[in-house]
Amino acid sequence: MPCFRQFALVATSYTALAVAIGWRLHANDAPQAKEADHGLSEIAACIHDVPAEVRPEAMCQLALLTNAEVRALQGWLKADSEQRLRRLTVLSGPIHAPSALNTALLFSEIDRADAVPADEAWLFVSAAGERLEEAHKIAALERIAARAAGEGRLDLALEIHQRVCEFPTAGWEKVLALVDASHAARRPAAALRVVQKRLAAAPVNPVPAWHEEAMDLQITLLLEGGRYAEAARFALDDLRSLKPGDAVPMRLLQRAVLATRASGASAEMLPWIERHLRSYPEHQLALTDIAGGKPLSATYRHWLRESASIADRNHQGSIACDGYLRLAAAGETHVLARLQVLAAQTGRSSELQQIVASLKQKLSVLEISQALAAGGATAQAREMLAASLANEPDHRAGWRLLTKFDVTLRGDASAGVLWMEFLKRFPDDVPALIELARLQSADAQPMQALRTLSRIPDAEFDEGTLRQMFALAEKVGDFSAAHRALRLLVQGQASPSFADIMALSALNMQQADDASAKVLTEVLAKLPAGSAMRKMAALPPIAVEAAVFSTAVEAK
Amino acid sequence: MSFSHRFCFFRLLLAPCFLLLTGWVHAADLGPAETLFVDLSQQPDQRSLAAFDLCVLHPHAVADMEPGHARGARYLALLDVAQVRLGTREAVLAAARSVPSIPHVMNGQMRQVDCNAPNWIAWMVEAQIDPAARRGFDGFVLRLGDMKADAGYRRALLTLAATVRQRYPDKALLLDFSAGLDASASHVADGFLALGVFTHAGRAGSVEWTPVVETQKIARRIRAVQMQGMRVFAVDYAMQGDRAAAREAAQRLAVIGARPFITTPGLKGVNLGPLVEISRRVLVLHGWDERRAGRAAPEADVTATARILQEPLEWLGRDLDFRLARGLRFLPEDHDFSAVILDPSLCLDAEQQRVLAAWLPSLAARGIPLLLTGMPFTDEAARHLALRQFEIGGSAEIVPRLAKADIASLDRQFLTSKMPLVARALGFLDLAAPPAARIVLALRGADSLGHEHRFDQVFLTHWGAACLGSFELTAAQIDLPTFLASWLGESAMPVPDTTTREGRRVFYSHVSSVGFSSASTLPGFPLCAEVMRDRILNRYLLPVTVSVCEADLRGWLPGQQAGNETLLEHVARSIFELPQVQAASNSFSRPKHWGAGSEITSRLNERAQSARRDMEREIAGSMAYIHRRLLPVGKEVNLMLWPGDAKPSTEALRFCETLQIAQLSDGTHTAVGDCTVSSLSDDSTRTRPVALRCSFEDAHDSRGIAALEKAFDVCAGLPLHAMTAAAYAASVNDARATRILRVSDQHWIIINRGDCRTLRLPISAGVPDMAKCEGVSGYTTHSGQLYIHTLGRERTEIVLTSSQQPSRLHLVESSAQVEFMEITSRRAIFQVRSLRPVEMVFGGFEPHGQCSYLENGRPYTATANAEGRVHLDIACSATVSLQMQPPALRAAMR
Repeated sequence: MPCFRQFALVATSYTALAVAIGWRLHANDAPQAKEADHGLSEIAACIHDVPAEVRPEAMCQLALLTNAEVRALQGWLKADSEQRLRRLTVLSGPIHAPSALNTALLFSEIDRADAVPADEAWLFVSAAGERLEEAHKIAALERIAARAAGEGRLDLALEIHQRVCEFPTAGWEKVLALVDASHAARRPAAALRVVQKRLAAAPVNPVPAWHEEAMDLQITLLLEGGRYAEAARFALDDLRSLKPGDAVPMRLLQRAVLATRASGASAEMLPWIERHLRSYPEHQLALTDIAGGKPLSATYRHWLRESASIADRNHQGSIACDGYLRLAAAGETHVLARLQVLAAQTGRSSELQQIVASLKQKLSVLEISQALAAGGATAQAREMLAASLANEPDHRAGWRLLTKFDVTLRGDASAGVLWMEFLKRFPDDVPALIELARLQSADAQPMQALRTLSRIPDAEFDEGTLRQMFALAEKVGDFSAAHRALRLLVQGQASPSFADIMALSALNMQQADDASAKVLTEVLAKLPAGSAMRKMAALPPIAVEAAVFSTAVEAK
Repeated sequence: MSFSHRFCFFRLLLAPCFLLLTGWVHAADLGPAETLFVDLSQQPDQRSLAAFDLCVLHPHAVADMEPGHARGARYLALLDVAQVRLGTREAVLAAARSVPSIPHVMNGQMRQVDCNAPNWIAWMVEAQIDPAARRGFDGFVLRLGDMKADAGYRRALLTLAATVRQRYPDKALLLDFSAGLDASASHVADGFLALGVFTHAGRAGSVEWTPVVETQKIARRIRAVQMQGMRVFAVDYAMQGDRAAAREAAQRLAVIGARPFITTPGLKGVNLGPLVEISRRVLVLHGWDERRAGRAAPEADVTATARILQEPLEWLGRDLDFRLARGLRFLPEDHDFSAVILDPSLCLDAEQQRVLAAWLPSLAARGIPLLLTGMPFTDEAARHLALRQFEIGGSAEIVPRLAKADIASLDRQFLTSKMPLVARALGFLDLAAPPAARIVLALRGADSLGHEHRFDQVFLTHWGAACLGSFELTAAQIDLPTFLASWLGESAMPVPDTTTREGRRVFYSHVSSVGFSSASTLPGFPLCAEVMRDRILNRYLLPVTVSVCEADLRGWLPGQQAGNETLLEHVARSIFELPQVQAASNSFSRPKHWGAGSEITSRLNERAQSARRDMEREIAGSMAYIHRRLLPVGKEVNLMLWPGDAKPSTEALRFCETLQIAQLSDGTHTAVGDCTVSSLSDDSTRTRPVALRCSFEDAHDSRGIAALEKAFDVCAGLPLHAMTAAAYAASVNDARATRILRVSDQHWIIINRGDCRTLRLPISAGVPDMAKCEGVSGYTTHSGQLYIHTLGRERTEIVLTSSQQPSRLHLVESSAQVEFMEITSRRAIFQVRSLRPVEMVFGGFEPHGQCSYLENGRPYTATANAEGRVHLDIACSATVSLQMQPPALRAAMR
């Protein structure tokens, strides 16, 4: 609907302009009249791109101008850009002001290619006084600020935004624009001043909608300016201003946590978070209830986590342990490793044992021990896992994890031996074979590594392992392993790499292998018929039996 | 003609007549002007100009002459006095001033101006001389172009020269030698410029020989004018890449006494001599033709050459240029490279093989060495041709049914002691090196029938070298720098070195953004970023470049919770506030692919508010975010650290170049775990800097933190030159773009941006003659290499000497960058600025000589050791004035 209205307005104004020009042409045949009409068209072209809310009215006004006014406008047009702007803002202009046409001409002057520099233009606009309505003045200043920012004059843009915010009608969105400009100019203090001024002037009742956002911004801008202690003081003062029985607003709490964390005074938040936690019914639940499956709300968990974390960082072990125990009971296993230390320090190991026992009903020992190891408590994780595996000699995943724990605890030097021990128990475990081969290869034992990889069944190979196997076979001169690796590589690819085909072909030329020859024939058949490469790769293999031998000779 | 114009004309005409009659003119000094350069393009290469003393340019050339003026170079505008191009300001003025002209006979775009017209001189001055003078040219070359000069033209040219001399007595003036003027011009000009003496430009850019009679005549005239004390500068032509022809042309001109410059007939600034630009380009032929093979060839960066040879070749100052073997015209048309490598991946069809085999003799003819890393010749005819040219014996085919392989001979000089030598049957070829080849590794084998075979696997020969068999395994057994240096076989040249700065091994480090927002396992589960800040960055005063990922900080990555962004941004800001931390961008979302498309951004969560997801957003957008939201005033972000294992596309690299952003890959540095004192000890040849790469993830647990602390402790304790990652990236880029011009066997001109400030030569090359070097602050030696420190100017001149030098002050090493304001034989004034006290060593003192210095205005003294070196410990930020004094005893006697 507004769209239609705007369209109608524009159409009407342009029609009026056309009628006016026609009427003038009809009424005056004199050359001055023609000149005046030419001037009108020129001015109409000027204001064509001004904001839509001004344009229709300006067009109408343009159509109704007297000849004298048109001549004045023509004279104005001939002046230099500074003079033009000066006459539209601070001197007596070509037409009376305030008026839509004057405003439109001002907008067009601001946007011209040869416009007055932004640092002068904004002064003219600011000084326009009654000649410009406040809303238009703000819009004009914003346009100048955008131009200044585009020219890289970020400080000037910020200054103009500050001026905009000083207008009584400038809304909260103007402050947000100022904040953006302050970020661009890297001067948070400028925006902070305005935000604090707004907060100071904000009515107490009703609290404006932007109040909380402004409070957040105040803290953020203080932090951006490196004023951590001040930010913390503001936030804590807000908290202290609460009445004893009042609930602690979550947003305020969040702000305060951020500010105090930045200033290193997070310990001061513990009583406030505790007060907030007490407002949740879940806080009354015993550990056994939580472990028993009583649900905890997401926000309660969040603040419990914050409380425990802040306490832990501030060496308040018992608060931290209490919080972590509740979180662990609720199934948050990432705290288990830290709890191992804190529970021992605070004498709450038995409670931890109970929680772990209850966790074992929900989670597997593998998952719990993994969580412990991830938190750095690998020794405890190993102990727990080893105990559970004592009666499960065939639990492959468990033993594999145990071997990993052992490698972590004993170091890389023992890794080979540990994986070999694991392979004694599970000789066909492919990941273990690959890991052992990697270790042997890194330890300059290519022959052993190749032997280890040869134990992997054909179907279990992946491309990386096959390439490793081929490299090892090349290194030790093992034709059969090289054949196998290349054959499987080529077979395993939907569209085999040409380099692999060529390598297989060359290998076949040196020492033929029936299986490889067959694969090669199949693959070559898939290459574009008659392609030169197909011919090259299809050279006849040497038909002899492959013999396994080693040619490694140490130079004397 | 108006009165003022008429008056001007008479004034201009009478003045030279007076000068000619009196025979008095003031000759401008052309200076030493040892080297000449001619470039008639509109936009000459600024860096080329820096190499020469006298540059003749197009009068409208866009060139910054200030740096050249500062070092005493001269720029002359080449003015066409008898021809004018239609549509130019000169043509418009000629019409306005009614200078008579007729259409050019051969070029429809030109008009010939009547030089005998009365207003011709006034027009020349107004249209050409004055504008060129205003643009800052130091003089003019007056040229008749392709006009046949008669007596009238010669007279007019002389009159014009006298006018110019009177109008601009301080400017140099050269005359076109082809105008036929003789020593009579000595009163008005400083010399002549001869464009084409023994050769001239032929049709379609070819070079044609000038008839001998003509040449002899020119040579005689040159001698005649030289007898009158006039200087002659001469240009001759050669085809690009024909180094031998260019060398001969320069010699011919030098013999007749002219200052030579050899270029292509286009006169577009191609320098072919006598200052020889050393080509550092190594051509690598690799891959295959996708259309012929039916499969795409692998990218250049995964070839064996890139993986194995790139680092040693770059260390030797070479730049690899990969060329895919696509189509029949897969070979380059020019020979503007210093060596050729046939990569093992090179796979050619029969036709291509024949083309390659036929091309090989052209390499041998130009002395361009070839490295054979595989046998690409499988076609019978091509192989036969190639083997004959290579003088290789045997069939060069795989030996089937090989039962045994053994090492036949080896040359320890080129083999590494790190790997055991192994003879491999796999890939055993029947191949014998050319008779005079130097065998590095030869195998012998026996097949199942008992026949013996020989395989010369690695050898050096007159056409280059071969490294055959399984290239990766063979190369692992070779001492590549030594082998490749022998293969390249050129005399020593300065190599831009990025491993060393001011005499010390370079150290830089960077922290990747991965894990920034993750919680660590430390008490209270602080963010990894907080742990990194508090436990590592805050503790060490080493420059560390920290990169962040915008989407990570804004909480837009999948799995990130809302509400943390303020904390994350605050932590990032607190890191960037540290003085030792420089900022870098790890992109907006750490994409895996960097194509030019509009959707490259990685997956983000539902809160993400970014309309654009293209390369510009990833690079420029993320940098703008870091700049606006995270950096304190005074810090800038100017490094793009490519995330993870992502490979930046050509478009992405070009985009960074356009924005003048340094960029560094994430994966070629020392990992934290590898950082031990022994691994970083500086006793072996420096092939790479000490670079510590880590990520915030490394601060996840106490074990990771301990590894980080150990690594930083090691680096902080070593005598390194710490610099930022951005500065290192800039030095790498500059090293690649550095141009080296050889003046003589021990004299080079180095042109670069000044970001790469170290040049390396083998120690056997001699030592810098500090009195003759330009832009050099000092030198040091280490592990058989001579490291020369430059002042960071765009032009450095190095002159080496093998003789004992008199004592001359020079910088030996410094732990921080030094900005010299003055360095003379006995005195130096410099500034240093670093996070830690600066350790400096100066050399060139007499044994036990005295050194007095003012550090920030406070006087100190130091005594040199027996080697004439003074060790100084300077404050973090200081201006120092240092003076060399004789030993105390001698000073007392005096």
